[in-house]
Amino acid sequence: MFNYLIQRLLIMIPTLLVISLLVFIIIQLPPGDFLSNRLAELQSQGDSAATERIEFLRAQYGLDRPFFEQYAVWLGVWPGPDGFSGMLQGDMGHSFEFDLPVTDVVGDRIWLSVIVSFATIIFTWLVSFPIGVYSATHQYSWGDHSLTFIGFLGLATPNFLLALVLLYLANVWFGTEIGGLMDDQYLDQPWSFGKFVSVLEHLWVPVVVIGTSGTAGMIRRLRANLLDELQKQYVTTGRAKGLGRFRLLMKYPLRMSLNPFIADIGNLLPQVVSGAAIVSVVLSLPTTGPMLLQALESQDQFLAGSFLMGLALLTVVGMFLSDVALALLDPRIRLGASGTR
Amino acid sequence: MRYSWSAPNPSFLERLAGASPLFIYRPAHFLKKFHIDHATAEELDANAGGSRSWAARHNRVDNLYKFDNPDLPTLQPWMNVTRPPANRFEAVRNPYYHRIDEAGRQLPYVDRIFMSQASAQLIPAKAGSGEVDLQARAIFFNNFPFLKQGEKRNDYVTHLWREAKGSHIALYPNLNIDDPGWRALFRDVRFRRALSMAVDRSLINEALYFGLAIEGNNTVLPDSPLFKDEYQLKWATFDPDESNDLLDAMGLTERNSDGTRLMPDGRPIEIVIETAGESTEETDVLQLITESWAEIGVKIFSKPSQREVFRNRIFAGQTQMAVWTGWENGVPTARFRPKELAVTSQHQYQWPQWGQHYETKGKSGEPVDMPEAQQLDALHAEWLATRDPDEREAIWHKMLTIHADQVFTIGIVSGVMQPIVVREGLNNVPKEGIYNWDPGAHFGIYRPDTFWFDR
Amino acid sequence: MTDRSTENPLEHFVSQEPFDPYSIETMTPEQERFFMASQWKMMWWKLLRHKLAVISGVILLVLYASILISEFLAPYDLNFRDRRSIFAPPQGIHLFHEGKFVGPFVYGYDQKLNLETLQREYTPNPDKVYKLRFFCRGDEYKFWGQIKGSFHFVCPAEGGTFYLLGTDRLGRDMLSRIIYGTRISLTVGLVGITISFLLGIVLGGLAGYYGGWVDSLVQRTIEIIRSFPELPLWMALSAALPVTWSPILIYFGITIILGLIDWTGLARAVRSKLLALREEDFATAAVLLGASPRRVIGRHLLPSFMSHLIASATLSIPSMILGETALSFLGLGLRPPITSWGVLLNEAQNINVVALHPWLMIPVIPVIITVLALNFFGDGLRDAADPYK
Repeated sequence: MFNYLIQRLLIMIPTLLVISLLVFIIIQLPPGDFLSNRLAELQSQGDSAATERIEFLRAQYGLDRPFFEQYAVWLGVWPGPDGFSGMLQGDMGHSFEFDLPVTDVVGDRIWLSVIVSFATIIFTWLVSFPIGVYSATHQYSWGDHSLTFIGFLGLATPNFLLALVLLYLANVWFGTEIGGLMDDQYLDQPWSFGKFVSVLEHLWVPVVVIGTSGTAGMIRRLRANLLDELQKQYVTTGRAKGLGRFRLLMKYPLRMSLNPFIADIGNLLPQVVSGAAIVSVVLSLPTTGPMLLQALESQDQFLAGSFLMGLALLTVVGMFLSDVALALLDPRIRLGASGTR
Repeated sequence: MRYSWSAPNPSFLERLAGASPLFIYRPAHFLKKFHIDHATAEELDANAGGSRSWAARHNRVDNLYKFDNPDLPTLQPWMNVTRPPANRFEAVRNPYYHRIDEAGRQLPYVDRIFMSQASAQLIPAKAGSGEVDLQARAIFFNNFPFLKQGEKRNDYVTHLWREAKGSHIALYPNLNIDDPGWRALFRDVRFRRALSMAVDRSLINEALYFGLAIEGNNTVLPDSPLFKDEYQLKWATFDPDESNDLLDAMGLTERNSDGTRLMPDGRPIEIVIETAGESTEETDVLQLITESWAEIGVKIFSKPSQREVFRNRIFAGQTQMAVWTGWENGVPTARFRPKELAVTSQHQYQWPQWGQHYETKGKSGEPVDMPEAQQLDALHAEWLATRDPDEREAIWHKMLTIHADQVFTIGIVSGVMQPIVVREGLNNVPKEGIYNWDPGAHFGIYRPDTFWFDR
Repeated sequence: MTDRSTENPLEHFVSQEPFDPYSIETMTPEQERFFMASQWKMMWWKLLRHKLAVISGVILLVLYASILISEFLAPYDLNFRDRRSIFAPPQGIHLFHEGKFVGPFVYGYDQKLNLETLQREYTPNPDKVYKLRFFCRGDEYKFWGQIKGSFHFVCPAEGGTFYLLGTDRLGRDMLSRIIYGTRISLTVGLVGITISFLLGIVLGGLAGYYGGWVDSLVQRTIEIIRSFPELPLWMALSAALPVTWSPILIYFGITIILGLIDWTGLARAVRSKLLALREEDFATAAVLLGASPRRVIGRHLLPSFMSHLIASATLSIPSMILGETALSFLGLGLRPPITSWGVLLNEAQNINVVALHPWLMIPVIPVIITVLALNFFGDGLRDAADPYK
């Protein structure tokens, strides 16, 4: 088991390297780069003094270097114009769009992203759990079918349209300000009770929209696992011995079927980022999704690249941790069988 | 203070007064401590703020136009007090602003301005639910009914100003295309005239602009003192019969089984029109043009792409025809340099290679080889050299005539109405006006420092 | 042998029939059907018991069949445009006019331009009774782009209008656009699924069967792809599609992109099943008899869980359909003049539509129906394919 863990840790490093190379390639794929696009934009507006400024920035950030040299500088293994300053040294680079270091730009948005993601996950659990359990214990009944129908409705509706409609309805029915995570007056202000209430008012739309598309998958998994467990011998034995239905359900099969959820945590992060990105764009939430989208579109390479690497790092670590957790929980894996399932 | 140059610089005043003006001054006391000629090494280090060189630091803090440094003194009516990055910026009145009203009171009237950042898609919704006091950006003509609906409930009014671009949407045939067959077609003025006359502008106006826009060429607007009817309407009336006659006269009488005319070398006339794909308006206009051009035997394929890709393809001379807005300044007077009418920039999508040649002073691109365009350049040079206002006006008219005659770009509609959302009680915002960037600075020419709330 | 049952009821009874040694093994016809049924037949019967799956299956069949006759079903041609009916609200079908039965008809509209709100106002005019015609000659079309025709299932009355779901901003009939959009939206998933299926089976099969470094490599690749958020992958791959491609090619390019990102789930399932199954006796027997790895995988191992694979594949189609709508929203996918549900929804994605012309959001209903139907049908398939119940 110890060997297994060490092996997994070591494999993470080349994995991350490959991911970093892929990320860099992906960002460089569209033709041109941020500065030349910005230059063209300014020139089309008739601003000819911009040329000197942009050339200065270009030299300063080494955008005139060849591809692999830029990649190496970004990683921190090759000296840039001002010595070693890449990700390995903790320097995430400079965002051209915002004209700020990447850490500043990402910093604020991360917390709001975490809040939204956290709330969404809780919502998903709260909705899918009862539906999944009911569905498994009353299989093929009309209750099963209709609840599953509702649970899947969220998956089937395109998120962006649902978000826009809910936004409009929230404004018409509740007077909530359109878009954003809080009323305009609280933006950039320190936390207060008013700000907290405002965030709650705005939070329910993205949570419902993103959450409902996740419920279907979870319902399905929970129901499948629970059904498998309910077939087993020990359940029949328990009933025969007189254990109450509900107690029996809670004590044994439910715990067994929670296994895959722990395994799933590693995957949750990229999914939530992607799924939330589109809804965040529509609702104009100051989270990391729209920032990433904007950075990719305008080829703000350090912002996009460093953020994606951070995300990839979290995901890989998350997957590793969930494997470890699974190994701890499930003795079959610990004692050797066939690696991970 | 006296400024002099070795060669004529007629745009000096124009640029000083522009929307993104030429800043020929900087606040000396503040900036001297960042400049190597005026500060000691210790001062520079103390103020370096994490930058790697003094020049980089100076560049970062001296942006008078961007307002991104709240410490930088300014001459504008308001000063930004929020340090970026932020989602909401606050601007407070500048106590040193130099303008006063007739009663001697110091402007501006409004004490604070808040500007929040929001996704462009949501701004019409936000405006329509009463969240703004003054808004024009990101609101378009088709939002007007929605905005009108919310007026009473949300306490605002919606004015309609006119756009002042030469044309809201225009087609740019690429005169510099490298393919010889297409080059011959586009260079033939009869072809351009035929295409222009086969555009049903009244249909487009009715369908998309409620009939309120001005149909005609990409040229000056009626508000300009240089306006003449013939500039707007020449070769711009809807006459498919005449278009067909022109094309027949050119010898393009062969057609294929679809009814599309064939070029002399046998290829069907199928024009690929590229757009930056950013608005459904362009798609709709192209859809309508597809139908009317089909009647004269010309087929269209519309190809949306990303803005940068779109631009790069044009600069490289690979596009056949592009869709973009018309002249930036549709209300010039004879005092304005006629730079959009002559070959001056590669951003003129009808002759990007010639423009490049001019901009790089011959290092790349192609020299102008069409007599009419050379005439335009000659007139432009004359304008730059002369000081006589009457002569300048005459030159403008000559250039406008050439453009109307040659149909270098196919303008469709201009003067599209722009909704302006104004809070009930915010006075001095004109009911009617023009909405333009340069000149105009959007709200700038209407003096926002004189806007005031009566409650 | 003698009939003495009446005298002694406990006497041993022997049948008079001739002795049939195979009587135990012969089955009644029903029993025969049941016990001799193939794996697929059993799946079919199980599927039929799942009512929701059956309903979904029928709906899907109808939708896919409609693709073949879109031109016939749509009342108007795809490019039809009426400049006097821009943003017209849906016209309801009535049967009775002033108390008399007239047959299905709609009331025509009177259009008024409101110059204050700059809106077009439509009021139904009871004098304009436009009877619907069925199996009639209407707009001309080219059937599948090749054969000219003009036979429609339903057409508006001569000189009348029939906008069952209203019109859009250029005056195009929404119902016809949705019907034509079905073609693109329902098939965009199929090409992607095929690619994803092939990649998943091949790579997952190799990983599961050979184990060792092949397995490690494939697993790492899967992990890398999965740890990427989809968004940048979509954007990068779409940016890689050349601008000069025609809309059809871009359409295929997009389905290929969707397929290339989707195969990981299937590969993992194939791999884990193969890991378990390759230890089974029948697989060992095949290897010992000299079968090549390809034959063992293809002929012996795969078919034993093919049903599970098909179910998984069916469940991936909805994500392709939704992926297409999401790509259209980001501006990366299909764009006009191609008409798909994603394009239609993207055009409905603004506040004017939600507040003033909500009927333009109706294309969301076929999307929901299709996605739900595919999900339930896939679930039913999976339940049916599961041998343990």
